Amino acid sequence: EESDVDVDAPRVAQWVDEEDLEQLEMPSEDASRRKTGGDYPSLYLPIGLASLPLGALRRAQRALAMAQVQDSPNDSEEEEESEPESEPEDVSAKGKERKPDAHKPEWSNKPRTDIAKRTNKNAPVEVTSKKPITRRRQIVDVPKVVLRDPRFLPFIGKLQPQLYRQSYGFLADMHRTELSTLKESLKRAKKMLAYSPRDQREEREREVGKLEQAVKRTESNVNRDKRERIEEDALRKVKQEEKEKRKTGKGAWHMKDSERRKVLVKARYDALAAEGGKRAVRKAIEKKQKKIGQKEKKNRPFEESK
Amino acid sequence: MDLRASDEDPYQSGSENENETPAEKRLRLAQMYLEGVKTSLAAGEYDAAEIDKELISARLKQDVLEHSGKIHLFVADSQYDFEILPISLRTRGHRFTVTTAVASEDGKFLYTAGKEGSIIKWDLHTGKKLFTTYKKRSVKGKQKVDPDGHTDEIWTLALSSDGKYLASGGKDRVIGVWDVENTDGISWVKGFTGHRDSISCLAFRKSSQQLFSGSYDRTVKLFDLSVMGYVETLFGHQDFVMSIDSLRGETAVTCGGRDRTVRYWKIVDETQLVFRGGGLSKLRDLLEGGAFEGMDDESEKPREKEQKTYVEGSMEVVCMIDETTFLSGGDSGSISLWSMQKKKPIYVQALAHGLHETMSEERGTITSPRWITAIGSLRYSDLFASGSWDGQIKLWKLDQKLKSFSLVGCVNAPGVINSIQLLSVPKGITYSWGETKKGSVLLVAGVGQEARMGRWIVIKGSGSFNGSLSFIFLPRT
Repeated sequence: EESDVDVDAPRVAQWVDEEDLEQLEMPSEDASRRKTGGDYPSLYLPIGLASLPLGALRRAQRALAMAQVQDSPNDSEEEEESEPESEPEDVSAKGKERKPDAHKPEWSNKPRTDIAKRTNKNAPVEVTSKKPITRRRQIVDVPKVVLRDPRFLPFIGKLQPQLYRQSYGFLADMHRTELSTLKESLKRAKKMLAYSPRDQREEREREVGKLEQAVKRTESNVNRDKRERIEEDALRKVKQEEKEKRKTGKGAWHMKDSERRKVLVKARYDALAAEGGKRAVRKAIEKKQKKIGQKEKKNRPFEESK
Repeated sequence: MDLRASDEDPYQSGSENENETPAEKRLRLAQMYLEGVKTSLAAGEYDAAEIDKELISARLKQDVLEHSGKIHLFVADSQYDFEILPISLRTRGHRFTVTTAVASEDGKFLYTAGKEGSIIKWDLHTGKKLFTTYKKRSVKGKQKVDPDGHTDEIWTLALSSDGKYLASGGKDRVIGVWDVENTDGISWVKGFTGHRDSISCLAFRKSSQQLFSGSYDRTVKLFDLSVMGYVETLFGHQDFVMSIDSLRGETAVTCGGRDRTVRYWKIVDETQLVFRGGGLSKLRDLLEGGAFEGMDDESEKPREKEQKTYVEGSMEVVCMIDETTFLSGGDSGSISLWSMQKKKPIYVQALAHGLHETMSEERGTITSPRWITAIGSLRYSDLFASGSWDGQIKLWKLDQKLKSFSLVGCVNAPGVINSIQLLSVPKGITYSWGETKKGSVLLVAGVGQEARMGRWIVIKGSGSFNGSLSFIFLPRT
């Protein structure tokens, strides 16, 4: 057995470069080498130190040094009955393996990754005990103010159109006055632009542009107000009629979407008629049909001309 | 010449055989342990045949139960008769308030520390003073003098379980370690100066010589007295550390005053578990619970429109029952029972020591709850005691499921109770001032005319004195 065990073989695992390892693992042609003692020491025999790259040698040296350091007596287990086996110098032996790292600080500010998250919210929180407490400390719990969208808060309640019209009905008038003032100021700005000296022209052009955009915006607001008022009135009328009918004994009824659209369109045209007369209504219908026709034409596939 | 290194690994102990299986190693260690137990029981007699086999098995059983870290002595209700007035020993000798009184585990000696800076060693058997250490004059100046004694009030004492070292700490920020093994007296060994503010609490780890210290600088420090060195510091509290307690394991429990937390420190993992107190206790809860005696308005209906609510603003004292259960007392008079699984207490006894009336010129009579100034438990059992300044020490018993507790008795103790310690009297110890039987419990309380760490409470008169009180509770026959 003495001859089998190779005394010069390394006692600690040596680092072997990957390519060299592949070489080793390849079925070597020398079965004779296998016979001599353990495979383990003989694995390293074929590789002469000269063939190892320098980086591998350096890494192996470092690994050896680490292994030696870690083998040093740091496994002083704590036994309650026996006397503490820690050496007098090693005051900080706490019964667990400690790396003899002289540069490790007693506390570190990095977050601890090995602390398990608590199982449920009623369990106590586990935090590190090595992080010192700052001067700025929270002694009294200040409640955190959570900002929420007031439109979706439960105590706001549902939209009440009647109430809205009562409180905010003045906005429609305001839009109208705004539109008239804007139109006036646009007129004036255009006039000024026409008679402006060269250096002020650009500025005035910009102003005119802004005013035009503002006019468009306000015009759309005014139109929207008008349209909404018409629609609301129409729907309210239908509802009231239904209420009357229900009083006289008709069953429950709910307006379909298509019916609703029909009512609204009729109301729109009625308003137009009240404002402009039959001619205006006719013109509007014609315009609409023309527009629809153009769109349809565009969407049609390419046709052979006759 | 053989230049090779020897086959023996120099880092292995001699008795170990390299080819030992784990089972064999366990067997060898168990044999070593049994040898140790035999020799300790024999106390000098080497004839193994004379040692009763029962002694060894009883001791082994007790060791196993204690090491499991759970409650195993259910003694409070069945065993002790709290109806009869227990005999007490009063020791007087301090000029100012006694802040702590600790008795040694073997029941022979009692150590008390007072606000005047002196520590007195008493013989518990006779009640006589054995030794006194006095306050040293503080040296002012630039040179760093090695401390030789305390120079200011002493707020806390702790005694190691083998009775070798006594640790003391107080306002002078030095932890004094005294050697008390020789029966002559107390001699200074070393002073640890690491803390940056007054030391409010000390606790030894049971059956070891590791010392935990909590201080007003919000840190908890761990020292190892077998090598007389500092080990580490634990951070976490946001306010003063008011009280600390620890049992056998490498864990400790502290309570921080106004940050309303109780923290359970796991030393090995370097982590802490945070338990949040500071709950509301209503007078209504108290009336419905019915645990409070002697209230005038028992005829009051539980449902009152004006409910007095007392918020626990500060947690004052903490005490460990076993490795996973502990108690805390707060300044709203509430005693809370905690378990490791919940961050809030599993049971709270509100207003344990009643309400206290103070006269105020502007507001007339103000009633406020009496704080819990001291709490102590019989380790690994279901009996514990709490003290305040209402002239009584109340004894409580945990119920079977360990989910609540109830009052079982009280003893008269005038003055402010600054510390409470409960320990079971070991076999063979007798006291000249009271009879002891097998299984009796000794309660040692440090009482004074002022509160421990300040002068917020002053009780002068109604029998209050500066000293310590010891009671023996005998088991029912």
